[in-house]
Amino acid sequence: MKILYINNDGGGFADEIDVDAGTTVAALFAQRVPDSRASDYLIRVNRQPCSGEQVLQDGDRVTFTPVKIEGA
Amino acid sequence: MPRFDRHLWRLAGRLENRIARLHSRTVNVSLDHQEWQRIERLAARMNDIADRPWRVASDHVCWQLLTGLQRLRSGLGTIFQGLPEGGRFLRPPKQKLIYEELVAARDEFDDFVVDLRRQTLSVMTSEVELEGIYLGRFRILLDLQTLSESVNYSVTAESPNRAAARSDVTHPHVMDDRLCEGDAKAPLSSALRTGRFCDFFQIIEQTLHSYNPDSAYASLAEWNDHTTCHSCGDRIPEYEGHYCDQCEADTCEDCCTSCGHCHGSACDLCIEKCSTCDDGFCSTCLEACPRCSTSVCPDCLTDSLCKECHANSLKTNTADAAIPETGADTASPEAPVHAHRLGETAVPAGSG
Repeated sequence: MKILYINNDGGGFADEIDVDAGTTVAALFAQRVPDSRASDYLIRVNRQPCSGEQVLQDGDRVTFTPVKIEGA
Repeated sequence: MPRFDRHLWRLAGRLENRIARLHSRTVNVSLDHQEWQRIERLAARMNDIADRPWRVASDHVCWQLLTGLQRLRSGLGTIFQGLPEGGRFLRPPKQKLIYEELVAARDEFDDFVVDLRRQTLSVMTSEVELEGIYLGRFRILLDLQTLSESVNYSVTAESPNRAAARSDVTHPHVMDDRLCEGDAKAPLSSALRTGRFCDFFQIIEQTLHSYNPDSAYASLAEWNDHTTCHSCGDRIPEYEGHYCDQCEADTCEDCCTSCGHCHGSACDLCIEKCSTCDDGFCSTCLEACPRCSTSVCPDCLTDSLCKECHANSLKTNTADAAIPETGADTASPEAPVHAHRLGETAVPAGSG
């Protein structure tokens, strides 16, 4: 199934990606941001707060925004 | 289901057109062919002298080659940045998506304000506190008419807690209401180009909640290094404070003065004016006139009196000096007639 995946870390990424049916938010995070902790990010599904166990649906919008973004 | 907001829908329509203009598919490819040919010649020359013992010449050619390659790499980098990541141009967002983003921003942030006349969109962040320093809330104001420009928003402290050493710094990474974006630069640009206004404000808020001590306009460790002026109550950086020799308190530059006699430093509260010359003096240098008790500086004292009292005392002394003493020679027949005795005249003896 397709979801809109947005990562506001680094250069930023915003595009549709394919994920397996039944993929949870936590599983997606582990796939996409493997070297980070989920607690270091604001995670939203369809612009709403969510739990890691939430199962993604076709067409969902998932956003990862780092809690710590360093200014200069 | 949230209530439909037609004002936001109309704004979203306008933004759809403006954001579409940010999505240009033209790429400017301009390579310096002469520079490349020069590099080819330098490389050939390096190969020619590689087996010869010309170390100085070899180093010089190597330096020229490196410099030329750096220039080419810079030019290629500019072309690279103009192309989309992954080789696919992003589609500009539609009105519906932009509308949903505006609604999300309205629901996520406090004090969401849309000013259609000024074409601005603003939100208030949550309270920011970094390493025990309370900085308060910030208003992020986005100018919707300048989305294509690099600086199109401001970050203004609601109740500024300015750095002691920098009055223009309200946050370690905000100077003159401009955020120095650092790691936030690329995601902010991406968010605006794709109409993700809620993400845009969220990225700025997260940046405000983060502290990078290696690259701050003012460090938090020295944020509150200030004192308070004893005279006017203003906050002043400690290194700008002055010291009053009289009351031993800190004072700002505006409230600091010096005694006109001893030139010691004093605050406004410890300086009084001389009643004669009106200049300022410390309490140590002023003296009270023993006659009228007014404060007088040393230069305005004459015989320990103020000018006025001294002048009055001169008049009194002069008057006293002109009056002779009572019971003296006037009884003698030869005594002269006193001209000041009104109504009296010398009457010779025996006259009648």
